[in-house]
Amino acid sequence: MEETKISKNWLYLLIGIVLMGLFIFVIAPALQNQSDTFNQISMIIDQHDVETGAYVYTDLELTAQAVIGARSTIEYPPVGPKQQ
Amino acid sequence: MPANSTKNVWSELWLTEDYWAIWLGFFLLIVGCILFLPNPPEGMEKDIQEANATMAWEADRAPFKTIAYYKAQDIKAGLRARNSGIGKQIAAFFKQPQNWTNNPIHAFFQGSGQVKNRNNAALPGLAIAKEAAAEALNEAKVAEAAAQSAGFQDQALNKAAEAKIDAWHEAKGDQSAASRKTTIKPFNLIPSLIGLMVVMGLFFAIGIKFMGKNLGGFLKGFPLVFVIAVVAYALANQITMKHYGIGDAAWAIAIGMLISNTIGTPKWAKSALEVEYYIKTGLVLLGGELLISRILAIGLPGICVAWIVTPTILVLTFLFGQKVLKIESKTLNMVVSADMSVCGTSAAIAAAAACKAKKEELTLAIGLSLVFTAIMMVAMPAIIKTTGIPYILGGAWMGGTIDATGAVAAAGAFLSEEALYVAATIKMIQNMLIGVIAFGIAVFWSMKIEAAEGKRIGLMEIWYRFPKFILGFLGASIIFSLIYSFMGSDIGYTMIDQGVLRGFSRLCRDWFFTLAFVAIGLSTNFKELAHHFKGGKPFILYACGQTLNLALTLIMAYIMFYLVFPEITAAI
Repeated sequence: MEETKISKNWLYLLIGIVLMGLFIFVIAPALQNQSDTFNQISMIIDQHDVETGAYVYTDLELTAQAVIGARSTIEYPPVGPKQQ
Repeated sequence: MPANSTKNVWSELWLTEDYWAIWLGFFLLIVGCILFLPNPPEGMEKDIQEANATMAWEADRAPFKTIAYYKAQDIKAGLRARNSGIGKQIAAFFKQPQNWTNNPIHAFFQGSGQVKNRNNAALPGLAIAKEAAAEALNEAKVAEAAAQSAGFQDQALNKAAEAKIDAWHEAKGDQSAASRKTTIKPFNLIPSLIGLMVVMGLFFAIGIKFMGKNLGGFLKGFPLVFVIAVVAYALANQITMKHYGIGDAAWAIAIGMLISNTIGTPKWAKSALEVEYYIKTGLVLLGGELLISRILAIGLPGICVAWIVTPTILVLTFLFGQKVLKIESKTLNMVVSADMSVCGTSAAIAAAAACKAKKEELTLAIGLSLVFTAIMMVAMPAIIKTTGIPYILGGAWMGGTIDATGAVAAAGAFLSEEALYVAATIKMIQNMLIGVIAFGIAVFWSMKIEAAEGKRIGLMEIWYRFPKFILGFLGASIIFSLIYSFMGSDIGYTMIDQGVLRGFSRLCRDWFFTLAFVAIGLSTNFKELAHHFKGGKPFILYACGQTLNLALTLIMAYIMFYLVFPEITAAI
């Protein structure tokens, strides 16, 4: 009886792993291909290697550039010569 | 996470995980300072001075960011303490499994032949990007010269020059990204991962020993937790999963839950499921990353959007959950509200630790966030494009509403460089709120929620109940903000942000959180989780809160960026 339960549990684990594989390699790519916007965003993610699962700003390279850009704008706002 | 009702005694300093989180977290922050602060990049101060002088000159010369202005800005951006020899060694030691498509072994090992093929395959892309950048630079030079020849008095020429220069700067970024893909080096992560496992296991074992917990059991179980964390990172770096933003947190919980609800978590591993110990240590490190002083230098419009809307939505969503939906668990209500209104997983972790929520409640909040983030990351830029919302407004809207920082960056980059910058800046400002909100929640819980109705409690009683690690969390934020201010924005960026934080403490924090999520998964029961989802109330709470968030953020962003601070918007 106990042995049957153990093999059943291992079977469930195996099914879980197969389902995860199905999601990663079949379902998710198929869903992604349904949307042009999603495909374009995916290309940008690949191009810049964006860590989409990042929790905090320090996890992302792009935020460092964004902050430098924003700070420059505030500290040295381009005003140019006075308009005539 | 049971309430702490024990009376305060000195022994708490070495017997509780709250204090151990503080000691270990600060130890790592000090190690980071010792490693990076004495080794600034060569010529740092001279480069900064020259770049600032150029930017000041160019700002007076033209009413837009010129080519020389951008070049000076990029020089400052490239000054990074973590690019030193020691910084590179640390990064190599903490390296997580890499990107892969079909073969998971590629996440851990790629030989020279394989890497050569990958680099060669990326060469045509680099050639195209180089050509595009060179062409864009020429066009930008011509347009800038035309604007200059009119003394920068012709609005049409100024606008045309600005557009061409922005296009060149974007093309330059694309070229750098393409270049990185051609310089990949062969790697084998197995030895460094084994080393990291041993170091981290021993690091956490110190506290386990002092707290009088089962040290042998912890050391026996830790490798399992670590290995699952490694698998979670590998799955998160599978290319399609990256597109969806399904990160290591989600995979760590999912794999842990799959094991615990099928074959069961092995008894010998249970002593290593120290969820709070890992999370709180990670949170103290996260505190160091919350540089409050820094955001003051990056713009008022974003501060107003993030700091007015976010707390408002948090309070309203919590009240909605209590008064309208009548959610039984106040902690679940708070964790979902913080997750949705502040910044996703990081805020959920901090809020859960501050109000002592159950791990199933944190799991639920992260799951909801994951689903909404994936949808919003695709839907929001599509809506912005279709409806013609200006990209700066769209960036602000996405930065204030999409939960995950990474998804905000992806959606922003899809629109434009300006949208990306605004979105990422607002998300960063929101990130900074985590500490204040966690402190507020901890005080509110200690004073109101845990107190008997109508009964006033004394200061000492509040102190007994207060989760002490929050002091380390806030303390790290205050200390690092002061150091950053003292150094000034430019040197602070190079030495603190691009040194101690991104070069060391962040790497540790990331692993600690993933270990915590594995431990959560390994100790979570499906039935218990389903109980919390009863009636779909958390989903309704999230959906209603997010709807209100979308509306309020859009209105506030419009007011701030177009009515109150139009001059800043024009300069972005």
